[in-house]
Amino acid sequence: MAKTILIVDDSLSMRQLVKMTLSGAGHTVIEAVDGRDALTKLNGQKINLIISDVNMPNLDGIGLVKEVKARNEYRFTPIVMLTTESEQGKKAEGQAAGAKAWIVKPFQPQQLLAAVDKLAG
Amino acid sequence: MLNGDQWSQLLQGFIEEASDLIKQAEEYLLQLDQTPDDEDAINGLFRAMHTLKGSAGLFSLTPLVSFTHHLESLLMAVRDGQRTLTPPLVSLMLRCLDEVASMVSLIDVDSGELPVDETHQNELLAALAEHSGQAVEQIPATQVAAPSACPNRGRLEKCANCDADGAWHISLRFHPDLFRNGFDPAAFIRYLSRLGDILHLDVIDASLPSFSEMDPESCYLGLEIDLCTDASKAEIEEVFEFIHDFSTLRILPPNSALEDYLQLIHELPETDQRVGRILVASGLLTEHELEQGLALQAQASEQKPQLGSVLVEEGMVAPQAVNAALAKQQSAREKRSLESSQIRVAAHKLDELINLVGELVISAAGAQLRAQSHGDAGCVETTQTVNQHVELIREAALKLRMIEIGDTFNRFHRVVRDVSQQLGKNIRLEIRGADTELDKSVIDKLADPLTHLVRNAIDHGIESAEDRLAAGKPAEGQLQLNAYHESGQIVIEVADDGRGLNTERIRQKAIDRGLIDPQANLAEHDIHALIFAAGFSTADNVSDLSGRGVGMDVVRSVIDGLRGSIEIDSVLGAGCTFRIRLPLTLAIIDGFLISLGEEYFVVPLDMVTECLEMDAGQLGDSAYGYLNLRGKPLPCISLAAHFDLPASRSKRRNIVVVNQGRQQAGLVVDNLHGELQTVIKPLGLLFQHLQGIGGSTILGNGQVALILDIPSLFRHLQNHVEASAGDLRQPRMDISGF
Amino acid sequence: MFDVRHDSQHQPERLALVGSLTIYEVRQAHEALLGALVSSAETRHWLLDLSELEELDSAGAQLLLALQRHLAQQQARLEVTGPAGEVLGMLELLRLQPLYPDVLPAKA
Repeated sequence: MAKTILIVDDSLSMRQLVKMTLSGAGHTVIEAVDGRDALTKLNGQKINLIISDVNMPNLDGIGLVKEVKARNEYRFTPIVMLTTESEQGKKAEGQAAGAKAWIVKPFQPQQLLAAVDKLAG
Repeated sequence: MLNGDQWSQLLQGFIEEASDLIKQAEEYLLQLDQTPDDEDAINGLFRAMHTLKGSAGLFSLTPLVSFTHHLESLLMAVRDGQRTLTPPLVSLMLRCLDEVASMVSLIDVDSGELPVDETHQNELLAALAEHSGQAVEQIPATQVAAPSACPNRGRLEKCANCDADGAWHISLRFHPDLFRNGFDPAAFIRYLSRLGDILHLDVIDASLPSFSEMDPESCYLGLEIDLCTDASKAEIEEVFEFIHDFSTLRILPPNSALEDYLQLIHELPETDQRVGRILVASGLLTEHELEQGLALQAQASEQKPQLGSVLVEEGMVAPQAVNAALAKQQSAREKRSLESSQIRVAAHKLDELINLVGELVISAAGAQLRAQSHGDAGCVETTQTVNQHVELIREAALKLRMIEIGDTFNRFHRVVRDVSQQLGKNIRLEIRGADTELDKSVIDKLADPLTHLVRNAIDHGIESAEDRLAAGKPAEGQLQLNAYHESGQIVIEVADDGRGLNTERIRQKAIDRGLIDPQANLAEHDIHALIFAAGFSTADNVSDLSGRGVGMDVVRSVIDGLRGSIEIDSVLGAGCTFRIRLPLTLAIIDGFLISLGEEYFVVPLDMVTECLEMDAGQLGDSAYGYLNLRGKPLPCISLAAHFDLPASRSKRRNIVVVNQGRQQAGLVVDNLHGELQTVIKPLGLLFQHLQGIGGSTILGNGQVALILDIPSLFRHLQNHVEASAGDLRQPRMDISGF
Repeated sequence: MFDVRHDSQHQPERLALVGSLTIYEVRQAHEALLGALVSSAETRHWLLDLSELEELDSAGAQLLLALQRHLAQQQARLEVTGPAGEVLGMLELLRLQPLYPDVLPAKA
């Protein structure tokens, strides 16, 4: 079933990779370049899943998670964090904030699709 | 989802695990051969088969599952006291284990396929059935059937094409916060249905409070799912990866043991019988089995005694079965905790690391040389510190490769049993120093030579019982495998208390084969060493056992290849000991640097006993000779002459005294440069024939140094000394004043 | 968006669920349904109309299951009618037979 997915990453190539993978599978993808930009996209429209980078300017991934959890109409939206091995320390912080699904970069497109299906399928 | 590579990797892991289990099982069997009532061994043996069967099921290795199932059933009967492991049954079980090992070795890691020699298996199974009578026939049919990969996967209707008992059972209980964290079990179920057919699914609502009391955002549900799939357990687990922290997941592979299902029912929090009902509905349990299990459970909770004692009182299982089950759980837990503290690493990765450490040793030495020639005190100090650390890293890295020799030794229980039975001899194997550690690559290469020596000892060394009794020895022969450290080397001994080597016969044979001159006057020790010559065999009839192509000469060359040596201690009529000496490791050695003119050489440090200095005039020009060292003749070799290097012009010469085993010799060299650590690089093909060179290394200053192969130099020296025995008997130089 | 339309004028009493019943709406739905149950505590025959329900997730399904169990405990009869599409799909996925409509619509 087609889902609406918000991808938040300051890397253009990462956003493109994610977008290509997900729209190829029939999902609608909304892009945001950082946490602050993402919050402007949470404007009442229905979003099934948020995929977010951790390390971003303006508002980082953890900050975004906290903001999402604080917004009534998005507080139960599943969030997948994209992290690198070296950011594993952030995981505990992120989990405490409410991000429960993590994918370690680099990942296979297949992995991303699987995650979307497991979380929003 | 797992890709092919990951799958192969998992399967490779299984093959390793299975090989370990087979080895364990064999050890237990051999132990039971000695002490048939050893409960620990029976339990261990059963556990090994049970685990093997279970793991094989994970990989859909159907033939392996069904074959090990038969062994498991028989062992269950043994465990329960219905059967005894008689020596013929032990022999049969050993053959069955061989078949299991052969199956495991035939698994195709890439395709996951397993070809089977059904005729052979059926023979074994028929023999087993004969031995165990009722025990095998009592296996419920549902458990014999193998799990099947269903060709109908992907459809959501009930799968009609595969037996229901080929299904996985998945139990899920969720954390109350599941929904609040954005997880929806429905998504996971949909995802799961991609792996195969969901035969049954039941939402467990036993924990759901009354409508008015419930918090609608909390999750109170559980799921019981039967899935028909050829996916692995890991793949199934992966479906639930994200909700790992928010759920309790239990997965039972197809054909799990009845006790596992009962255990599952027992563990689940619900008081109703729903789980059991699902298991029955999907054919994983029969109604009868469930009733029994639940009745027992109920009784146990009423009376509050332990479940185990209920089972025993009811006469349903023998006490040892319960103990075994408890022990099994205990040991499984222990094993898990042990496993989690260990990491399996591919050998080639270790090799890579060692190689790099080797390079690091060289470059650190280079840095230190530079610093010293530069003279900057701070720099020298720093490089020294670096070198100390490099040394520690080197030691740590080398330790990674060290494994205990015990596993290799234990293999010989089987060899000794088989071979001695074949020959009608009664032989006891004793193992000492099983915890002695050795470089893995050395151990791997040692297996064949050791096997040969052991077979040889049983075949030729130890006499028949009558001969032994006649010679006043106990009828039971003794074979000893012994390992220990000695002056930086590993010593491994294969010792028997048999007839010892027949010196005269060896000598005669050597003469017949043209290996020695009939006139040669050889010491007994040297005559014994002749059995290592190519093509030598002392047995009048080459037997099936020790005459299989691998001769003593091959043993010798393997040991040589490991930079080791082998010597023989034999006393006629009392026994024979083969003593192998090996370096601790192959990759890096502590060396002693010497030079001849511009050429550098390295002597392994642990072979150097002392250094002497003397006047060049005292030394002759010939390559080989004797010195008088404290009143004893010391055979000497002039390296310059030996390697055809220009004779030295310096007035003073140095002599490095090296030893190997009981032998000593002096190496005449120009200069001594002290100790260094060095990485051995193998010689190229071109130089492999060089006598006396074992490898090369690159010094800190970039120059190449050759590593001396002392054992080969010793042999060389000996040959020359013997060849010209007449004129070299007298020491030519007197340096006894040192 | 979620709404419950409670029609207590006819027999059986009718509860029509409208819109989405997901984790976002379950609290509101719970309160609304609880209200209906309290106000009609004596009713022994209910009709649950799911024909206008557009979205249902596991949290919503759990709520319906709790409702069904509650009525069963009260020995009240519950008839389910009208689930379609995604909603029916969810009930079937979870094999929630008690919530299947009494007459299953013919599948396309």
